[in-house]
Amino acid sequence: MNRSLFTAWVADNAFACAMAAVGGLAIWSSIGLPPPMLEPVGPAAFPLWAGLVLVVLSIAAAVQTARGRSGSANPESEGAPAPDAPAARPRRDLAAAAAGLTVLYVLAMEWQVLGFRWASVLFVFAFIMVLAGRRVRMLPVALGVALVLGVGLHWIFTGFFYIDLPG
Amino acid sequence: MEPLLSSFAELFAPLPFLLVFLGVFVGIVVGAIPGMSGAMVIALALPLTFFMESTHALVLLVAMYVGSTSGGLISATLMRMPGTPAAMMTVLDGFPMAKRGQPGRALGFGIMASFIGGLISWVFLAALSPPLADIAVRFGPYEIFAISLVALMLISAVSQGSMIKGLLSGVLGAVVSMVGVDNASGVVRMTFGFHDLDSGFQLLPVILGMLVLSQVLKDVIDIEQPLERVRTTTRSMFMTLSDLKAQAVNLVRSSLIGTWIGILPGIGGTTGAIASYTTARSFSRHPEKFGKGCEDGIVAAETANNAAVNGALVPLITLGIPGSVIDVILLGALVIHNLTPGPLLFQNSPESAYGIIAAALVANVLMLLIMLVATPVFARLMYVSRVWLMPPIVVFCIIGAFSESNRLFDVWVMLGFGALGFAMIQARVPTGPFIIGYILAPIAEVNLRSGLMIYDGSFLPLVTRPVSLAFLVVAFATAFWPLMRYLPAYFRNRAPEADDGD
Repeated sequence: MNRSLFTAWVADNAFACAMAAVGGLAIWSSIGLPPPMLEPVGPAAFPLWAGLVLVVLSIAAAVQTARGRSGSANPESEGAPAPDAPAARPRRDLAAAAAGLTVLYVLAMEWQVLGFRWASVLFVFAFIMVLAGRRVRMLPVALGVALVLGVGLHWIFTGFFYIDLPG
Repeated sequence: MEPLLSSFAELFAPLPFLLVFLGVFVGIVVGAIPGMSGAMVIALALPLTFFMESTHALVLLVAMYVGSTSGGLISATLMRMPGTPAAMMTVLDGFPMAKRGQPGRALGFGIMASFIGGLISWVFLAALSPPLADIAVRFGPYEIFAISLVALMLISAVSQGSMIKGLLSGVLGAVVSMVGVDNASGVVRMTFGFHDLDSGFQLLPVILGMLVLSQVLKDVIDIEQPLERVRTTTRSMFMTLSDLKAQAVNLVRSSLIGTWIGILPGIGGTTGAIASYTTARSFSRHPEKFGKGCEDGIVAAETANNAAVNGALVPLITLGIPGSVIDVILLGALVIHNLTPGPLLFQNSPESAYGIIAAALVANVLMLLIMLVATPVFARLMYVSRVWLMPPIVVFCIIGAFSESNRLFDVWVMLGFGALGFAMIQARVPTGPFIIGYILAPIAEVNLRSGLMIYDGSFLPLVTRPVSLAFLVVAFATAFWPLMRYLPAYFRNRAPEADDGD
């Protein structure tokens, strides 16, 4: 099994296990719900059955993976390269950095360290620099874009659309 | 007819017309950029419509829908990357044709096919929707339950890749939709004492997380993917009369297939394009040319995916059942603007229902004009670096998630669903069925339980009422058809093994 196949196998099985756990959680939480009163189905039936089906499907998905018949196409992965397109190195490090920056961005607003405007300026600047490989010549452009986006969007949404923003 | 004509008249007022133009333009640009999709742009645009009049908001979103479906053609043809999933079949013939020096002709065929597909399906949308809504008003909860069940089965059955994964995604969406207060009994479900979840997960954060944020993370991973380039010219970008004659049967057949598949609740343009392409190849005198730059292939795929847009609007505005993932977002837009999706839309807000129908046609015409004039410009925009696109998208996601209820909690919900969507993409589980399951499961549950209350707890009317019975039969046939097809093949394969063992 080569590295990419192994990664896919791990991802498939990890996902199936997580889904089985979610199904189990749905079953467990529905057991404690009150019995039906106004009609014979009641509030517990749908979560219980949906949970059960989820567990069964997770097991089926794991079995399918084990037998090597897992589906490969993902209709939602827009822009997926054609099968014979040249391969590129997947930048999981950048994705992790993007996720981390996004969490920090929301935390800054949650803890009221910064309001939307300046948190957005910092976030956009940092995100562009991470994606652009921290090239120094990108610095002024990134800063300009970040300022325009952060300050501009804040002004448009609060002053023009009358939509509240955090902070 | 009169309400439709007055909707057209209203649509030609400066502001609505500008919104349709803007929607089509932005839709085409976004559709042309690989990694961005119609669902993304419509979800991101939804918060911008909060302050708009409901009809204006809907015409803008419908125009984006039409534009983005058509825009996918450009990158599919010139870059070998479908800008939207619905353009995935266009790649097969569009790119080889462009590569052998006919990019203008490939684009021209695709643009005209998109237009004609949209036009023919619009006739069905305009002709079928008002009478269907009249019939649907008489549907009881059991009929709606049965239709929802069909939609739930269909989305899973047609999931590309693995049916099990499609089902898994749909059921997960259903489970997530049950968090919060149960409307029928007032009982709080699956919140685990977390009171912020009492009202369940809001639609917009879920959609933004699942469809947009997850895709952003995936695009960041693929940021170094090299892009193929084919120079674009507008030369020979117009289909001649003889081309049209040669493609007439293909155009009509693909329009009908696309419209029909669009009307089927739960499935959209991607399946329409696949079905239409496969049919065109089966009926072709030269099937060996398909996949090598065949004009028939481009026409079949592009006609059907645009026809499916209008087809999918039929169940949305007549039954309140989304025909595709984008229709789920439109459904959300209707709810956000205090409109009741379904048959009552024609009674309570005819200006919105007919406004959607009128916008679909005007957007289709504008799409043709804009694409014929500006495709070379869009072709350059496709190569805009993702570095400049990703950060603003994330900021828009934050604004969208926050603005629905003014709670940062919803932003965290969006991040959570973004992580879930990303995990699903990594595990090759389609996210579309999740969204449709998330919307349809509550509709199914509420209607089944309402039916039980009305009929004194009896399930019998489900099979004695002809409409609900018919839909139930379709639902079960859809669910068990793959199994029925699989089992004989399985036993056939087992037989030789058993013989060997003997």
